[in-house]
Amino acid sequence: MRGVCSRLCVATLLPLVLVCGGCKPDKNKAAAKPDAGAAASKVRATKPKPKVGADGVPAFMDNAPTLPAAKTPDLPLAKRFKLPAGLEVRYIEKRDLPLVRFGLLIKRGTASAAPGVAYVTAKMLAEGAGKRGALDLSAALQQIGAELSISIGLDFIEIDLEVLKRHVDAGLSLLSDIVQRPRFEPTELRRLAQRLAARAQSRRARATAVAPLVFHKVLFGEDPYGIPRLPTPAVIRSVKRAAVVAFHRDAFTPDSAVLAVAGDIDRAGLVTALGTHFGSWKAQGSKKQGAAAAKPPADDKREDKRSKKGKAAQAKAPRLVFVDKPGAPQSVLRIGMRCPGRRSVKLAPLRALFKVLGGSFTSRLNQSLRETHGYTYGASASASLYRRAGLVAVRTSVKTSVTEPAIVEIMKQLEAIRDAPVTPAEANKARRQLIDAMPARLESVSGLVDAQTTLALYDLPLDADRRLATEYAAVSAADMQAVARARLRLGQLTIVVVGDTSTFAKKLEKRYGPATYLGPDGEALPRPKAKPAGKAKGKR
Amino acid sequence: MRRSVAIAASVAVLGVALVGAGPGTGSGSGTGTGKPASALRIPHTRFRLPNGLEVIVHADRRVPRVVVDVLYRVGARFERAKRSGMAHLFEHLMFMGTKRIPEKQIDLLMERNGGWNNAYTSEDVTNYYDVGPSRLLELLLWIEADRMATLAHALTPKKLGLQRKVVLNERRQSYENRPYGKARLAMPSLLFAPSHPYGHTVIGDVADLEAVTAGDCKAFFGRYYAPSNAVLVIAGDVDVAKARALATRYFGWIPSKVPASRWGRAKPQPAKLAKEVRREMRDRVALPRLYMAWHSPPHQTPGDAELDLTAAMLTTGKLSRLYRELVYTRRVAASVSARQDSRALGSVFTVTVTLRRGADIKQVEKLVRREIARFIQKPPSADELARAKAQYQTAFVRSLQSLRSRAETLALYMAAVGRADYVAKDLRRYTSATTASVHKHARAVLGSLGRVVIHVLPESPAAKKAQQKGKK
Repeated sequence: MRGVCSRLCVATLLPLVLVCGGCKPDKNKAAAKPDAGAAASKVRATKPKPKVGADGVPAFMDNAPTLPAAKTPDLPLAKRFKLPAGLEVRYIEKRDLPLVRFGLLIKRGTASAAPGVAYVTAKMLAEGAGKRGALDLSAALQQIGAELSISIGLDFIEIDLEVLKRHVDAGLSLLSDIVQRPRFEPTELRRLAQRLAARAQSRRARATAVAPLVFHKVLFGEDPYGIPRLPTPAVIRSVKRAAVVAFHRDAFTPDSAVLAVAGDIDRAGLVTALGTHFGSWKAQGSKKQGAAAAKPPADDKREDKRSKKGKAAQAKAPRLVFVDKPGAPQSVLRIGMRCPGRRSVKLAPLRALFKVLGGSFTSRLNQSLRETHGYTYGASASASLYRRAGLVAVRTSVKTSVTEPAIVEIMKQLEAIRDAPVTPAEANKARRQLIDAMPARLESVSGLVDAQTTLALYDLPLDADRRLATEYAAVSAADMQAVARARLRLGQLTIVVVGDTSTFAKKLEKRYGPATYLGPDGEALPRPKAKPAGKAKGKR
Repeated sequence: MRRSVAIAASVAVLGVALVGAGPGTGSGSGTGTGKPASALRIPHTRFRLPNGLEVIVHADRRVPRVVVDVLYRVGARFERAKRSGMAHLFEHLMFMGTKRIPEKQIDLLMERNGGWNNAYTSEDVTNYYDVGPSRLLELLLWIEADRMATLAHALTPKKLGLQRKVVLNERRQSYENRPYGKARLAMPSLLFAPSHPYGHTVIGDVADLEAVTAGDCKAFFGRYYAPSNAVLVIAGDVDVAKARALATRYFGWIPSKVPASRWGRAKPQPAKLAKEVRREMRDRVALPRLYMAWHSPPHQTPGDAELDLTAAMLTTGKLSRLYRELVYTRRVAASVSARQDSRALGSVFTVTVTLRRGADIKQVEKLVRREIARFIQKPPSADELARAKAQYQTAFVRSLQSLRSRAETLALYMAAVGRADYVAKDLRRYTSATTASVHKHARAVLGSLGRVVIHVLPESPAAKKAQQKGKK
């Protein structure tokens, strides 16, 4: 055990003012740390004896306790095997609770099909499958307390099922129906389309949903990544059953799928259960067709070239995009640009940079916008990486009246993190945050399954996370600055503001040039007519 | 099952959703493979320091992480008149530093060493939690002890002014700029008399928040932030004896400002509506929405679990009564949900129906009333109840996975029922419910005409224009 006053570790980590009121040996006999006082005396033997604080707080409270050295977390490796018919399985045993989770990843997402088709197909899986219609399937899942979730991304669809151990067989039977034998009944398709259309309608009133939709649309344009995963009501209603059936036939094959399993099941039991329920799962279409569908889209090596030499790269000023929401008390902001995809970026320095910029409470953006200026409840920044391309974005909602100063402050912060390397303390903080967060996923079967399906989606090796931990430890401030210079180019940024444009449009356009006006579905709109009343408002 | 409404100091940054984090529970190494769910437990040691602080240690050495959770028995219901929002605003101030750990350092100390923290305030409690690698344990205890003892000494009007701004921004983000926020802000004052402890929102009224002074904050701290009014949970990769020694060292010296009162059930303060309270409001929403809310049995009292099960039977799964009728068969609703918001003095049961475009809200309300009348007319079927129970059985086990959830659960059980050893008993409330007990409690609650009905309608284009003009 260490002495309470030897703050060596902490002091090196914290080049900050922490009042060292003194180093009195611990007098609190209840502390039950017989050697603590002795060790403290030794360390500070030559220093004057400390005083007890005037506020009656014991002296040992004056200093932060010394921390033991940091350790590299131990991350598990999944076991990988293939079922005879071809399905790849990744498996991590976790026996402490009677739970098992299955995550079936399909390496196809909304960007791999015509607008709306992948989303509707994925959602239709749970609207009747095998011998059960929609109502019966829902009841069967509930009877065993199964937790079913269907996630839909630009590049993937993932069907997750979590059950108590005693329901593994029943659960797998339902999952195999859902994945292999969805019914796609026309009446259910109509019902679903109506529900999804209503959801897309209600999204229009939610500024925090409109902002990312418009941001993607502007950054990716006609690229499928620019189309919202859940498209507009009209697109949803136009999805034909034939397209759904065809997408399912082509995409839902063992060749383009990976099944991740975590929980309270041994390998022999798992192999037997999977043999029963997924043993005969084969591609349904012609062999050639299946193989073509199974091949994931190529990484876009051109993305980097595009950002260096393309039209966007010539831009000198940020691009302004407004979605008008008259009377809104806050402006929802997205500020950022495109970047290469998950397989093409160097992940460690990118993640470390965004940790410092906007990846936690003490990040630069949150401290400045929330804690110094009081503009917002929170500000963050991060990279969203997809297969072929990605984007980096600052995200926040600010009080309407400070929309302009908040954007100016964000731009200032982006410039600052390009211009000078982050401090050693910041770099160290980012490394520790990234590394020490990794074991959190080991606590739950969903964390374990998610880690595996993520690696599988990007065709990364089983030990990629272990390697990443090592890479995080080696990231330097210089690495981070290089990333900042490449990924945050002020002239190429897009600024999306969803808010009451009458209060900020003129000021922002004066600063950054004319804005493009879009509607809540990302549709082009004419500029609102200049209102005399607005002009009369004048300057602040 | 607990469900404190979460208003967290730094949730926005981390994107953490706290609401509905799951029913309580946890198991450590004690829960073996294949044991029935009813054997669930969170192994722990509990003791009380002479100053009244309740300490619970839950050792689980499987993952190299620790959680320190400090729950204070104070929430929005303890606020005095004209000071709504005080408890939550004060939660923010707890991160603003002390003489020994100055401003910004609480967060920096944790994050520099791979940890993080957050907190939330509900009607009944305020809960702070810190998460990090095992080596952080002593640091976390030092920080929590320091602010429990000395926060008010370093509280300045400047710090208050800044966090007031942050909270007003939080109010904008969570209510004012969010569809249906108006109705959520109005609900407490429609359900309860202004003098009732639940008669105002946790986030608080703007005028009240603006009126808070540093003196108010110091008085609030002096009254409620005492060891005798708190539970400390130490969970994770820690040796029990060492945790006990550290808890004693760091918290044992803190003076007991207020006498320790008994932990456990609060005295219910029943509220009744003499008749139906109806409101119609316009908001910036795309689809109309119907809210119906009733008073229901307090948390952890007879009927509380039955109302949770009732909520599931009404709106979870395609066969649930309201989903099947409104969303599936008649297709007049885009979504339905129901929930029992369990609270110490008295709970609230709410049904929420978001309409499809073109559906008539009066007609939909009629359908809801008819389905509810059918539901309470006779007991639900055994199948229906079995399906609802199965959801809870899985949910309890699932919530035992996360260390943070286990730590929080121990603290919340201590606050709600005066003991931490309660997972199995809590789950039994659900597994032992019968069709008759559900019928009895659902009828007592949902059969009452004393309820709040809110219709939220999209702003008409004309109204929007008028508003524009008014602003200019």
